[in-house]
Amino acid sequence: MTTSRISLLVNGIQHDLEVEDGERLLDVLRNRLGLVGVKEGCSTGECGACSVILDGKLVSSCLIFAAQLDGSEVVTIEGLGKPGALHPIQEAFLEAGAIQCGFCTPGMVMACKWLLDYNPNPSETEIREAMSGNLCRCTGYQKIVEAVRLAAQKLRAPSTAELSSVKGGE
Amino acid sequence: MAGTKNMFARGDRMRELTFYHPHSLEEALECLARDPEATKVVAGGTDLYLQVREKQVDAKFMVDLSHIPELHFFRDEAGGTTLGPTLTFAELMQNQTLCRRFPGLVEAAGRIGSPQVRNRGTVGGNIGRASPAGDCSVALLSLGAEVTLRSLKEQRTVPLSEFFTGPGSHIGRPEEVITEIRLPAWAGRSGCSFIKLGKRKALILAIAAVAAYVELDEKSRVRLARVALGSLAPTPRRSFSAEAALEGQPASMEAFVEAGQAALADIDPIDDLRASADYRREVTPVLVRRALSMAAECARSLDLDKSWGGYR
Repeated sequence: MTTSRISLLVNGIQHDLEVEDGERLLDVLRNRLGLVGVKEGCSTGECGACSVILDGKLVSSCLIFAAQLDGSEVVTIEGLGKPGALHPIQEAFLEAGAIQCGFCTPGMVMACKWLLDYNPNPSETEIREAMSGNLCRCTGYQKIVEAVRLAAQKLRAPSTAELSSVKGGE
Repeated sequence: MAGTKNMFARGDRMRELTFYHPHSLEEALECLARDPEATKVVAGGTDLYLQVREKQVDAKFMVDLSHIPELHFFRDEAGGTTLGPTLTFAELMQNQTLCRRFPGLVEAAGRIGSPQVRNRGTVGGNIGRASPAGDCSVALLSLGAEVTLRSLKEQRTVPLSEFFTGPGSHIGRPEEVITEIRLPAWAGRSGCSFIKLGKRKALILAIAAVAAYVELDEKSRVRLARVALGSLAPTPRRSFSAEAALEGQPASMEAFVEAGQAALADIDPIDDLRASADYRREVTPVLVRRALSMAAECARSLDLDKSWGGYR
């Protein structure tokens, strides 16, 4: 087994790591860095539970060789907010009732973050398209879409954000 | 460290991999030349990672192409448009020139996988994977694309229509890398389209896919047409029968219906997880007709742009 040295910025902290050449970004995040908010759902890149933002782009960390990531930057759910100081997106998910078992939630929140970073006022179609790589077996997605719309409001105009205005479809 | 014992729970094949990290194309080709049969190149890795882990592909060595600027480019010149093989599907979708002139290719890139996959997967990887269902490959076939392959010793350019030989296989040699994908110069009064039929809107392999390209003459007759089919044969392939049926025809619904029927001669569908061969035979003429109709519409609307003072 051989290894590669990579320098990885994770949630604002620089790490110099020696990773095994077959290791995934998911393995580095969960097992080497203890960031267990990043979930392993399907291991085949089809559920999005492992979603993180890599160099500004939403990716499935279960499909990525860590050895290729020297010089890259990763943001995980842990990099968004903390208990007691939640990110507005996390608050929106809570308020909208968009969390049941919670397993898809970190990936959903990261997808939402990525979307709102490039499109601060997405339509329902744009939301569903952007989150189409994230599966949820519990909620039926309606409240997740409402949470994203609420989050968009919170980020644009926090004082006027209101759950009742995002209920139902567009 | 806690948890590391589970790191490779699903694939001991992964423990045996060795990565090369070249910083130039020349270096990459040297790495590849050392033991070509046991070496794979990797860019995004969204397909290849799984193929290696699930032992569908044999690889001891991986050559990382993701830090090689010579492979990551977009060139638009009078003679044609050239794509670097490590452009991601997301980058294709964001490219203004491609959106304007080759919307079928942009549509194909946008139908692959999910946003997560499109942010990593590359056009070169799609071609190199040689899946019968490769969406970008189907669109590129309809656009008359050519692929350049390079090894340490030589370089050659082949039409994409001669590239695929079977499910997962192509004429590229183990020591070769795809270095560019070339589209012919954009012709006026031309249009293209791509349709993917599937069970849901994301994260699917196509049940069937059709890409069409038409050039119209001044009387709105078909001057040139290319029709490409996906998931309907062992490889993505052109429907020369549909194309022959369109020669010199007016760009009318009747002609497109005829072409759709003619396309049946070029498919070789199978029963699989996604659909039956019978169903694929049912939908092929419909998809071909629709794709041609959309491509012709695209050709007419781009022509209109030209008549408005050449604004493009």
